[in-house]
Amino acid sequence: MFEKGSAESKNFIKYFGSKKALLAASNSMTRSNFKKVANAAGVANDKIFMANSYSEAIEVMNKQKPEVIIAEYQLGPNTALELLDQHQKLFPNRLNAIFALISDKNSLALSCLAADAGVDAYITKPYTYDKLEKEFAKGVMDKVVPSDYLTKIEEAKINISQQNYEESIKLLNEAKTLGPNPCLALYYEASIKYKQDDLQKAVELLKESIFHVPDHYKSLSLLIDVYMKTNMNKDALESTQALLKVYPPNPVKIPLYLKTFIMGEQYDYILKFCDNFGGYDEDSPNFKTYISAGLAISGKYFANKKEKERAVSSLKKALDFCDNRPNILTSIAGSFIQIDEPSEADKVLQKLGESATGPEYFVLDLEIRNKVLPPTETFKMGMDLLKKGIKEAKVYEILIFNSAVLKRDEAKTRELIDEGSTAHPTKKNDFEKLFIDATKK
Amino acid sequence: MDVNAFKNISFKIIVHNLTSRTDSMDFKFNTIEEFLDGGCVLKLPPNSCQASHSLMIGIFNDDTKITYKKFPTNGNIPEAFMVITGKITNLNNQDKEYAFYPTVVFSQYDTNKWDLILSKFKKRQDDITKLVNKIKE
Repeated sequence: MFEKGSAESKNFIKYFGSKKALLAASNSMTRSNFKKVANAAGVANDKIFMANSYSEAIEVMNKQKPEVIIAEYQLGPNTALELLDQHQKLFPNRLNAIFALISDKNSLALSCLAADAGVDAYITKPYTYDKLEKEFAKGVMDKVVPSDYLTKIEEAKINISQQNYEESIKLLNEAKTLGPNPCLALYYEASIKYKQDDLQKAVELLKESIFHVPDHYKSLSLLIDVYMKTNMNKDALESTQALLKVYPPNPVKIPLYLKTFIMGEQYDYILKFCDNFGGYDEDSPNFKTYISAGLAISGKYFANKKEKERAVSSLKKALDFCDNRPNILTSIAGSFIQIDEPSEADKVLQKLGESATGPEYFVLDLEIRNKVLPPTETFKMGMDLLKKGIKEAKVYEILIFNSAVLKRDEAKTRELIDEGSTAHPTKKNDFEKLFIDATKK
Repeated sequence: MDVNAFKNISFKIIVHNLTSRTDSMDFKFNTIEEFLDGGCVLKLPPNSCQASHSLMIGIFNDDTKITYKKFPTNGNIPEAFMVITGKITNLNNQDKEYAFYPTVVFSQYDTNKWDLILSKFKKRQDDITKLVNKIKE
């Protein structure tokens, strides 16, 4: 890794010489390369432990408590990031712990996820062995020879994990004077204020941080959380956009990003986002659901605004991604009804299959029939639903309207209005208005 | 917003064992594990090769839609990014139930094209390292 006897070599031996290492990979070939790296870094042979699966890695980690882990990203059905989470709990002081990830996936989004989770190095396959060593050394260097700034920050982080906030802030204030910029110190102080629910102070600190480094990842990420918590939707949106201008989207944070777009009413941005990233779902198990939900909400928004073309486009895309999830399907069907596309809504409802059992389904079905069948038939369907105990406001709306259109005895229609108003007191005026409008037809 | 953020850089590979006259045509099974100077370590299906066997390797861009049932043994694969001929100098078969890892030293190959592959992966690694360091700051 370094020339024998060089200052770097001595530093590495000093740091790694006393440490244990766990090398986790499903194949022997990769484990053998990891072993060469660990040896080159200075880990003694008798302190190296191997694991060929996630469960074995967890077992070894709990038994041997290795400070150093070099792991392949995919460990069977699990990922090494789950291992990292456990390792961070075992060693909250990360100055004394190393986690390097080797992956045959090399997307920037996945590396963003890994970096956000706290890996020291992310090395992609295929590599040359030389590159593997070099990238490992580069990734861990700031821990092997830590700056005073980083040492203070790590001390503060340990205090934060123990909820010694006063001591943490003292250490962070000392750190602010030691680094090339005070961003990390400001970020961790803001995270304390966030935990203490002093959101105004948290925002002040984070703004100070991005004054120094406008694209500071951690500060922008926390700013989004703080703004969302305080319903400052426009600011949350601006922070998300600033973040995504510089960084790839962290797959696990996609729901949060979409939420900021929705709260900030950036529906076109959602469409663009989903167009760009909708085809990739391997790095986040619920990726498609989030994308689909975002598109369904956009479709609803465009439907409300009577922008039919954009509504149809969003809803059809939502349909492509929703994996037939009932709640998303019913939302999509509802929006298709709203934009007067009953046949599309009907097709969506058919996808519900065996899930088509709840009141929501029957109401949507009634709404669709109401658009295509004669009033007599819809009226009968509506009455059948009431008999089944499905007494949603929409059922009453359809019944009252059709009762008037069919010129039934007014007293009978009044009975429906009264019954509906008892079940839905806030809708009384709407029912009355509906009746008056329908009698004019 | 980087529209390629979720894209992986990769190549698809098919292999013909010139010695045993067998093919390994499934993109999912064949990968490059490690780059070497003038060669590479491959991951191939178990029992697909032995030490000292000669291989012909077809490398395709990841977005290729081309599929072959048999390796064109004359090595004429116009759709391939490059075709390499090489010899297995070492075989790691410790995980023989799952895969074989032959070390292949290239004898015939377009060095410029191979360098392009190497530089593509190197650039991606450099971009990732830059990103990881920026997020750490």
